[in-house]
Amino acid sequence: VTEPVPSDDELLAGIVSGDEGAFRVLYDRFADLVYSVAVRVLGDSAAAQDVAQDVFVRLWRNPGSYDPERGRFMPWLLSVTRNRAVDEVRSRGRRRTHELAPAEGADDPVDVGAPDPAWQAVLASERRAVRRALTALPPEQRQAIELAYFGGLTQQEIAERLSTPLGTVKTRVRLGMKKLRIALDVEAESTTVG
Amino acid sequence: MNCEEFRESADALALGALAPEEARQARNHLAACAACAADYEAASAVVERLPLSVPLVRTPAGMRAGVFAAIGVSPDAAARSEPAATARPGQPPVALPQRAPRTSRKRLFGARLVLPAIAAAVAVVAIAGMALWVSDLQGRIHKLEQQQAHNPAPPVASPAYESQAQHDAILLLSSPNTVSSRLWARPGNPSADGSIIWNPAKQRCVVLASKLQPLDPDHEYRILLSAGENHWDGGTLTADENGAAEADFSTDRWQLGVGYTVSIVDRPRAQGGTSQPVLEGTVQAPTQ
Repeated sequence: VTEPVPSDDELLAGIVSGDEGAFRVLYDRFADLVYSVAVRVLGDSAAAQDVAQDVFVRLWRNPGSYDPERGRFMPWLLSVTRNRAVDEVRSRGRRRTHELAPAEGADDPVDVGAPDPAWQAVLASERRAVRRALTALPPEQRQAIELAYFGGLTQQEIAERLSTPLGTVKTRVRLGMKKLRIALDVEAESTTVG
Repeated sequence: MNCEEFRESADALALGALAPEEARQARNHLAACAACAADYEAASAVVERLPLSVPLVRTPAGMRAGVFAAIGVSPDAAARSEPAATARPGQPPVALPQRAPRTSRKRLFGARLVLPAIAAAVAVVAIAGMALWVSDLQGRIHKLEQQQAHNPAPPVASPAYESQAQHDAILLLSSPNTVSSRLWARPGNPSADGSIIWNPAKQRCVVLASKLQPLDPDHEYRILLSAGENHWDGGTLTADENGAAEADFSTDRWQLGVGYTVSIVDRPRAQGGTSQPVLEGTVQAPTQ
């Protein structure tokens, strides 16, 4: 028995009109992922839970903070989560103890028991692609990108953290991002240099 | 900032890795330059996918209840409460090895007094979101409750759990700060499934697997553990005739704040053979 899978935007529209059922579906769809991003940034399950809960509570209270005109919902939600978690790290002056994600190569499955299996399958394939692209990078390039994104560090801070010249860090970020663009098939529409 | 300088900084801007003053200059340029805007969008399209790379960690017990309590909405009537009803009937559980044939299921939780404890553990698990496992446990408990309702005679006294490892698993799951994670099938054995349950406070980890394929006599399943550059052996994993297996081991050398990869591999018993990964997953420890 297959039921149509509501899109994120349909669920969001429901939440805007106070549909509790839509919020439950949306929560179950994204809770693990939101929590996982917070764990990745904070490295602390209690703090990550606080951040993840806060993200969802705010979403229910103010669903208009997401503007569909400006992009898809999931990247927005995960970016909000990452930013809140990074703010939390900064406010606590925490230093993360692990900086490279450990999960490499683990094939993401269709989580048949989870709600929304069809949606999970789509997500799993997206996650696989991103993980593959990241793990294919030279470790120092991946490290620079992950320290920036998940560690919330500026290039200058990364250079200090790694005792590496700033120029080297900038190069690693640029080369790594260039490879990710290719691997993820993301290209700028215009290549004209002004 | 000119176009060339912007393009040097576009990736860092998208990553949020520019110092505030640099970021301000870059944004000023961006607002006025359509060509650079396209370049920045490409960088942003990469960055927005980075969070998808994180190891998937199940939400902890209590988070769902916490969110719904905070917004004053009932957490019920949602998918999480439905797996027991919607789980495919007759399908073996994914995470919980199925040793006993269905007809002898009442032996699983034979003692009446055990029920509330298991129900409590199941509630914790339900919140933790291990839906398949929960649906199986809930199904078993529901069945047993029905049997008790129809047959007031107390069930035959028998071991409450199928195995020590499952007993440990339920105890670990019912205690706070447990980290649980799914073991995902690798291509060679796509139907296999499993779970890892780690309690950092108790320094115990339980691995449960199901639907492992039978092995040649000169092969065995082994648990391999790794964190960063460190690798070690977690011992053998012996599957029963249904392909179910379980093992538990001490994690007293595991450190907080570290992510551990747990793999189950098919390996020749003889030295020097090649390991085939069958299941793999990660557990991420809290930092404190």
